[in-house]
Amino acid sequence: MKPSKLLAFTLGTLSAIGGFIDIGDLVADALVGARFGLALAWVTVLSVVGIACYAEMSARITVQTRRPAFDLIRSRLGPGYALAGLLGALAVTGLLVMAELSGVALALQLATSVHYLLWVPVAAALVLVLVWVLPFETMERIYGLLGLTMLVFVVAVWHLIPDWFRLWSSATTPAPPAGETWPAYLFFVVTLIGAQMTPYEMFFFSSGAVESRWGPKDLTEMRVNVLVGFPLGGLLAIAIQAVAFLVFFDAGIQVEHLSETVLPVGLALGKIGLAIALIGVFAATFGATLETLFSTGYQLAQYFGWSYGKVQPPAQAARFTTSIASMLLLATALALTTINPITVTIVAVVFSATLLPFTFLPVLLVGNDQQVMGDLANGRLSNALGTITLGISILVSLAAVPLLVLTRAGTS
Amino acid sequence: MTRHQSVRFTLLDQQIIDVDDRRIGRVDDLLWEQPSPGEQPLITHVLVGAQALGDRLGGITGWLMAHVAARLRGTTDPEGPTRVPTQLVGDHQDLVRLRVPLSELPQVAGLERWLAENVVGRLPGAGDADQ
Repeated sequence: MKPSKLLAFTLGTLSAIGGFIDIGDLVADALVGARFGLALAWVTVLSVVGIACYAEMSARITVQTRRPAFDLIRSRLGPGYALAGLLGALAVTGLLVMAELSGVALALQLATSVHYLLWVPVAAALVLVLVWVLPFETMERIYGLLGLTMLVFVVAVWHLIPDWFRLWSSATTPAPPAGETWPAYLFFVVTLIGAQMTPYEMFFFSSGAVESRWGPKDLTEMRVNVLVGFPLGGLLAIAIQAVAFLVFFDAGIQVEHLSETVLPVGLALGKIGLAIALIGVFAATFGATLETLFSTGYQLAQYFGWSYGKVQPPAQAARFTTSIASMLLLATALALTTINPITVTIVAVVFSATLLPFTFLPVLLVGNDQQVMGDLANGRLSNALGTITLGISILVSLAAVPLLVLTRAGTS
Repeated sequence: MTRHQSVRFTLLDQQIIDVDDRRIGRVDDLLWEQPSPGEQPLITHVLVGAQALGDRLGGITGWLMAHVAARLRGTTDPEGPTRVPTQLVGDHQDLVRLRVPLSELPQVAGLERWLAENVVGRLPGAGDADQ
């Protein structure tokens, strides 16, 4: 293998790790760790398996058909179904753009003590300039590499000198700890699934494969990215849960702000650790802002068949470019209404969980179509995992909104 | 061997690209003609754009989509949804490939052109819309 090829492998995998963690994870993981310990760690394992399965499947479909996920939803299930999916996905992803952008601003607030609302327009302008100037892959790799600094959370687990037996027993007790109710526990199962199995990751991953003109020879690289990157992202998520558990659980402190997500790292590793964690948070939310923003553009463009993407000059994908810019403007305006970004994040990931089966079903259908996929059709493993994940996502989808209402977003 | 294939899966809703591989829209609807009763119907035109799609979808959403699209197209265009004669459609195995470049179809993708000329193309570094 040529060194340049090896570099491409590593970089791709790194960006998959960075891509897994976003504002939803940063908030939900710390919140869950503080209240439930590691009693929900199994959900992360499940989410990693599920999203890795569908990301691999949709990238494989793209390699074979040169058509990304949303494109296929419409040609398979018709314009009516796809329109409902489009409107739902746009609403959820749009809310997430606002939440991720606020996340970038919150990270900057933690570093500078300047109020995040002042940082929101700056962050939006930075996103706009970088999207305009940098090519797709460079963009992806920069925040992927910077996102690796999040591994400081894993180091922090060791430095907090945990009682490993207690961590293990918490992780192997899938039930609410004393003082918590089952509905609240189940609500956070839904929240974590929504935060970790995000459809935008799938849209972004498969549209990115089209943009990079991946062919069958790139299959191995894609699989390595998925099979190494997503589990490492999951490890990070569990590390965030673990440090929140170790620092906040016994003290009974509730996590309500992004500063509390990074606080345990500061306690374990001092100022340097905190600074590294903040760089990680900045990179992860910044990367996720780009991913969610592009996903809204991809969804619209692929539904209507517009030209899209960053490979050709923006003037040749004018509708795509305009929709992305409008979405960014809208998200900035929403963030500036002073609406609490953490609340928006929780609501967005719960609705995202509701939409999961609608995006999984067409991917599974096409992946199974021998006529379209030929040799690259789903094997037994993909089908088994895909079907189980789809089943779980249907249950989650049905339970999400009732649980949101019943537990008042987990507060009671 | 001829295999029965429904236009629903081979033509309708598929991605349309022009002769330069540029994505220009989707097959949002089809226009039929039956030469005489009892004969095979012929597809005469491929309809492209949100106006055709809105008409096809029906309901309030469809009505809204069709009317917004019609308004965006302005009054200079001929009435009715944007159409491309089937003679211009080449291979449609996977994607629907047209035999001509987008520049020879002035009625198609009007919003794309307008935005490219008046908004995006005016920014520095946007590239050339007619490449």
